[in-house]
Amino acid sequence: VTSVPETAPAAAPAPKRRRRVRAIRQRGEGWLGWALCLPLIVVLGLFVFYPLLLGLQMSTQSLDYNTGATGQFIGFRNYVNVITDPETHAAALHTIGYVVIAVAVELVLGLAFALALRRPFRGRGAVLALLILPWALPPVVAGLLWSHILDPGTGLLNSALYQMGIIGHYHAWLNNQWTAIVAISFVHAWSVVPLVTLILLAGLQGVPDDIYAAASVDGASAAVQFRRLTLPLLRPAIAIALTNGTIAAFSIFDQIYVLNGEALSTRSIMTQVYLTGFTNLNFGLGTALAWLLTLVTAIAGIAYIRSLSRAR
Amino acid sequence: MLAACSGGSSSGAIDTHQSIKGQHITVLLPSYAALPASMIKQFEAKTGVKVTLNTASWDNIHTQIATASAAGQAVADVTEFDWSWTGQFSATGWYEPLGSVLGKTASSLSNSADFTKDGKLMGACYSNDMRIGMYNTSMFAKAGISSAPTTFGQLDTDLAKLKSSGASQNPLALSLSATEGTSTEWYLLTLMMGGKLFDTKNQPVFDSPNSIAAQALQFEVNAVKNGWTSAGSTGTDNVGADNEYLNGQSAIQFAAHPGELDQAETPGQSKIAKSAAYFLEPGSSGPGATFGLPEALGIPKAAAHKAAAATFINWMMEPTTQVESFKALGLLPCNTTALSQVTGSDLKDGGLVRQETAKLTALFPNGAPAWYSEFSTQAASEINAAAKGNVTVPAAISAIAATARKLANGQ
Repeated sequence: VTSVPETAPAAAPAPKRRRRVRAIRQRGEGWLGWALCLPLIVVLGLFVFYPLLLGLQMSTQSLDYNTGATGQFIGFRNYVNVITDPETHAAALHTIGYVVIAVAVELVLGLAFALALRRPFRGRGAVLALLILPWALPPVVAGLLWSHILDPGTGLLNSALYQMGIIGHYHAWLNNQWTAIVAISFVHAWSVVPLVTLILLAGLQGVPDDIYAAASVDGASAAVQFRRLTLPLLRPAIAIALTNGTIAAFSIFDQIYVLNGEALSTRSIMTQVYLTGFTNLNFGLGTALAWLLTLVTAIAGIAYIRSLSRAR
Repeated sequence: MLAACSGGSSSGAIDTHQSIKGQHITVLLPSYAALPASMIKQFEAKTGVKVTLNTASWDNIHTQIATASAAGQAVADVTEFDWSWTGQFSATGWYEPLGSVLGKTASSLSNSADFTKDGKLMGACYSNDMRIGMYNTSMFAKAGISSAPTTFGQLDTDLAKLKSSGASQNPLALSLSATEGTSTEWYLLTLMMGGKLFDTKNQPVFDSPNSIAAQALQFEVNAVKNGWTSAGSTGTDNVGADNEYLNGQSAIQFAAHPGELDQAETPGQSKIAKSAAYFLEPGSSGPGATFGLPEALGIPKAAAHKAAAATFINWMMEPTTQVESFKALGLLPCNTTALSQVTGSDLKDGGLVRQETAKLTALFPNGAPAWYSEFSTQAASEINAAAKGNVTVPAAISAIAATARKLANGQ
């Protein structure tokens, strides 16, 4: 009984000390975290954010080398000029076309391949290795390969479709604006589908089999399991795949350049940035357009990430 | 990255008297102008300057120069300098004038005017490139045609015969993709037909739907419609069109280069070794005009070893070097002494090439303006759209002329 008053005051400082020790440890861990992130911060700062900020500065300057680049601050005039340019409108429309078609194709095919590859089977490793090939190919090489497939005279596509009776005569697919945009979107998607498949496959392998077993016991059909279990549980992976696919589609350039050059009918915003900056030497206007594209891509990326957070 | 690399340019006159022995220069040339290692070694032994030769596609070199120069850097000590860049690179101030470097040599170079802006020589011409016609004699014989066409009327008849006889499915090789080669082919056709595109103030003179430039574009569109040119040529650049001819798919091309006959007669490089022949570009009532696309060497203001670069350029301008580079690469010399030697003896069908040279016509009477690249891109895009049937010929001509007018008036 007498020991109570003695022990009570002695016990009081212990939690305080523990808190202090925990705080010191947390501070130490905080510093360690920052120290570990420092190389990444330095690299990102130097090679991403610093050029981005300098680009932002360039976009507000008169930097048309053809007429004499003065570097004079002109506010948002470059932005107004690109936003009101009909060629930007056309390029934006084409880019939206590429994004919508390519991302839809990537998601549908990626999901189909991921589902097919989910269960182990003989030769699965070889199939996975083959699947990665289009992703490993440089976009220019992919473009060249597809230019032969799409060739109106000797291309494999016309020959196959004709022999199957789907077309009555050979088509010049890249001569019509919309078949060209669809064809280029497919070529782009062909390169990105492997990445989407791998992301979704990783997501699928994180879903426990027990859930499906339980659903089967409850009498859920394969379609119901896909709709009610697979898709909701894959939502985070789908969001990551969509983010990657969308960013890649917004930056589409190489495949367009190889398959259809600088044709007005299929120019993307990136093609327009290239022509404005590097052909016409108007770096102010070019960087303004590039910044607008960055902004739109960032908004799309943030939207996906927010949907990912909601899914969690 | 461009922004991150920005910095001041190190400009200054070239001191050709400083010691250059032991210096190391970089040279950037198009892949088709890559000098053989043996020639580079000769230069290194003669001067003590080490050379690293880098090559890239012609289009890519412009981008590399623009990127580096805008950031105050030099992509190499000596670079390609195309005739069409003269106005643009003169306006940007990215290159050293070469008048003092070349001295009296400048007067022995043909085409120096193409590289001169406001009295300053910006490039030293090493390739006297121009356009000459080529045809396939075997295909012509199969179609029952005894000689190459000299007029567009004859050309139309020959193309129809070549196609209907089955001698060639698509007898005319044309570049119609939205690339630089397509614009230059349209300029060439306009000049061949006796037309012109710009006046002395670089204002367009082809606005009318009946202009010769419009007729030239109509000829290209008809070539696709008639099947003289394949529908896929809307995706073919000048190299692709050249290959169509060399692979024996087409019977005629207008955009051959002097020296191509040697290439066409080399079995490893062509499938028409015994059937290739030059012909003078046809015209409205007889052989028409042609078009030069000379290429030069320039020294960027930010180059690190300007004196050694100047020595390299002077060596490249020597008659012996130019004859040697013709023998190795088929590049027609700009040095007049070397040119006479080559067309007189070394060049196959040199007489015909000489005749074609006499018909050279300038596209821009006062040299290429600063806005040439932008104009050419728009022209190629409109020609491509017209060939695809996406726009009419008058609409395409009107759009090209509007672009030219806007650019010429600085809008």
